[in-house]
Amino acid sequence: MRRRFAPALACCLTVVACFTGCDKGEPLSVSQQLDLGWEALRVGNIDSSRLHFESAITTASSNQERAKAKFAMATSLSLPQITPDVERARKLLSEAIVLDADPGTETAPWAALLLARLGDLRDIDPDAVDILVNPDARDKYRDVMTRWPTHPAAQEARAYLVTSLVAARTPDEATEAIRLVDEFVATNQDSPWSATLLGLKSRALRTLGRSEDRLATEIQSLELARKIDAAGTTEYAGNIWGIGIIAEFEAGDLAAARKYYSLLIAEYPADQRVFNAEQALKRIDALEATLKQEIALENTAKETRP
Amino acid sequence: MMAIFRFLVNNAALILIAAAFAWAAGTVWTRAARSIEGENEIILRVCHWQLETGYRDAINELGKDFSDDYFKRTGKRVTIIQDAIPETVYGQFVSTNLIGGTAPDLISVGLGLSNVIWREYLNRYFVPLTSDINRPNPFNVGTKLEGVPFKQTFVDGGRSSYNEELQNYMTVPTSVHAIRLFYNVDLLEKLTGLRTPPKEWNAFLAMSEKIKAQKKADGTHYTPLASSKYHFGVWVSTVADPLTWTLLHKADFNRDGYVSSEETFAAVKSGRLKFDDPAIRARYAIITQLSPSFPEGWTGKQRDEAVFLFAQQRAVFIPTGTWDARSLQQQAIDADGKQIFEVGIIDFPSPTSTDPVYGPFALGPKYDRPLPWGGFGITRTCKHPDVAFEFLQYISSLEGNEKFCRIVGWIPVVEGAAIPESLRSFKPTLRGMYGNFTPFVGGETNVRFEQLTDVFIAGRITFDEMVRQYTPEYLDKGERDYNLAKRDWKRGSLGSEQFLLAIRESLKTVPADRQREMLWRYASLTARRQLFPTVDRAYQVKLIADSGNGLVQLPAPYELSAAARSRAKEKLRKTFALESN
Repeated sequence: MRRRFAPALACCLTVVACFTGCDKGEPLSVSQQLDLGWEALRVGNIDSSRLHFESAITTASSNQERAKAKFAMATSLSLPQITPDVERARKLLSEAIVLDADPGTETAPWAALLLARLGDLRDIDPDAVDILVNPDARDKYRDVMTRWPTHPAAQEARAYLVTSLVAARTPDEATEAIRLVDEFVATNQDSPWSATLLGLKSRALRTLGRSEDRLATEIQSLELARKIDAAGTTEYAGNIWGIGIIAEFEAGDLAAARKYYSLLIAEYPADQRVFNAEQALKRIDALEATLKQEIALENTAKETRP
Repeated sequence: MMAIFRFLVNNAALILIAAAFAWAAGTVWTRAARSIEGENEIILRVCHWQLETGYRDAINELGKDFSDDYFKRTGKRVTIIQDAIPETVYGQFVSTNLIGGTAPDLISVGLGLSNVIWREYLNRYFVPLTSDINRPNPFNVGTKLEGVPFKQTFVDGGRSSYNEELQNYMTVPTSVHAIRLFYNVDLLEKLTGLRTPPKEWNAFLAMSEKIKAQKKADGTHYTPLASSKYHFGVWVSTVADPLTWTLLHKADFNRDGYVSSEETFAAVKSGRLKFDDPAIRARYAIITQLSPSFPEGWTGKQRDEAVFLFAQQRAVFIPTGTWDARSLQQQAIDADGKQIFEVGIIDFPSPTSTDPVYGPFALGPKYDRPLPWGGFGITRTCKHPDVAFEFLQYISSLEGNEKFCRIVGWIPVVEGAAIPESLRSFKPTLRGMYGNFTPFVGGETNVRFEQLTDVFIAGRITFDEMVRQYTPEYLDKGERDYNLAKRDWKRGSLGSEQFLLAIRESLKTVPADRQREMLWRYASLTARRQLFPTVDRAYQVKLIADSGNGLVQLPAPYELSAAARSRAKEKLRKTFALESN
């Protein structure tokens, strides 16, 4: 008796469960699908993000919506390591650029930037472990900067282009990187990217061995960052320590070194490098004493010279 | 009667399930009933894993104080309900409740789940506290911290509250932990005549020898230092590792203040650093002096066994953290509440700068990293996030935190708050040396290093033999490990890009008045995760390539270049000239 009814009961329960589990609400809008997809992508739920983006591509009713959906889908196909489909991603990005070609466009510059990024992230042989950037991607970054000069994507493209140039560690590329940074910072002091670009410029100056300029650039970068970051959300202990180090060992500016080591001690008393900063201050005192002695001896020698 | 018995036996499983269901339903019902707010009442549910003595009392006590204060201001009472969850199921409890939308209002963050999962939970289910934590704490009015931004009132400047990936302050800490040496004062006195052990290393060793030489009534020897595999790590990090601080000067090529494993690899490859460096030799010498004071067979012992040895008064010292302070003190009291032995606490012994062996490396005390503990986050399902935040401000105000930590027996997290008398010696030392010995590049070198270390500790090979065996294997396997690390880094940069793009998309929904701040955070995050690492890695690749080709002599990282020295001298000369004019 029990055996006869058990399968029937199981079937009934399954049917009831299916009905109760069915979503009886309105279908999601394209914008909702996109939001859910991005949220899923942010927490690494790739399959779910792709389902939402695919659905958004299908249901999009305007070119702008379709471009947004294709850009989103291309992101979730190209960047995750799980079952990537970079070729389809590239196709979708090219389509998004064409679909969203209006002057006030929103998506096309981001799609073009992602195409450029794929040059750096996907077009380098994974086994070529010492190659970190792809010079072929640089023209694509430049293209974003030229076609949409006022769009935020252009600022980001500039940051990646400068990174690519500085990472090459050659004098010519470092010089070009410095020119790109100076050109931007001169007219965009308030941009959130300025402090970052100056940080990259400092590294380019290191390649060129221009220590004193490097010190000035690092200080400018820190001051700009603190001005923009009015809420004080970022920690600057590493930057302050770095300035002390550059001042002492590269620029030979002992006064600046002393100032920034002391600043680290005062502003970040719990930082692990506070002990190092104290040791550095002692080291500078000793060096200064030696140098003063040398200068005094030299001066005496000059005075006594016939 | 038999029929009933037969029924019970035949349906035992069913009855058990029904009983469990009834118990669970009863618990849910009573808890739900407790969570229903009365008129003029606000209920805050607080979830944590602290089952140690005093913690729940402290939360209750501070909850009552806060409620009184809140009542005076608003006419409403605040009731605190605690969910004290055992460590073993904490992760599951938090996950289930966060995902199910039934999470408590305040959750202590950090235990039971991986960092990645916590980060995602913080992102999805918790309220960012950045704007609030940047304002002064109103409960500090009238104290020396009045007007100071809340985050800066913490001993670590609020660093532990900040989540780099989310670019937001997400939690509020309530206490700090540190690791110290606990000891049985009475046993020490009985065996050595001392009530306070010496701080100087050699005197401490001599005292250990004296302890070890004495026998208990059963004929077995006393153990100076309770230890296990776990405790050995504590000893090494506190006593031996700080002696390697000076390796900075040989291997910190990017001069960021830390020696990475890649920098050590470059330094060893180029010959600038050798594994028999005097600082490394000193590290192993002190380990060799330490281990004979451990109990027999300590390498096979578990953490609890070492604690047991201490509680049974067979060992005199045990290293552990403040979280165990009250529990250890309770072990020293019998069932009738009578004190069996007194527990003392000291900082770890260390060599002085005049020590003939360790002196050149003992340039200061060891650095104590302040370890803010179990900071609370506010969940998005909290009905009264403002009140929850006020409660956290109350617990972490100068006076509130002093009281909280006095009850629980932990170290206050608020700068300048009085530390309970029994924990004075726990006050973290913020200016000191830290370890810079990073002897393996990746998995293969790590395995070999651990194997040789075990053999060395067992006394089967000497330090020189260990170095002789390890160096060629390190150079060979290190190259492979380094290549694997570079591949991992490339893969990681794809993940970072994915994360950053999703963050960038979320900026579109941020209110206009917060756009600029959020864009700054995004740019800053991009710089830290993608831009600077790419350039810095490129320099590192060059450094390691140069270190092996014999073409470039790597400069000592902290050596003044001739050009820098000359510029410094020129500047001083100008200052002199100005002064004499």
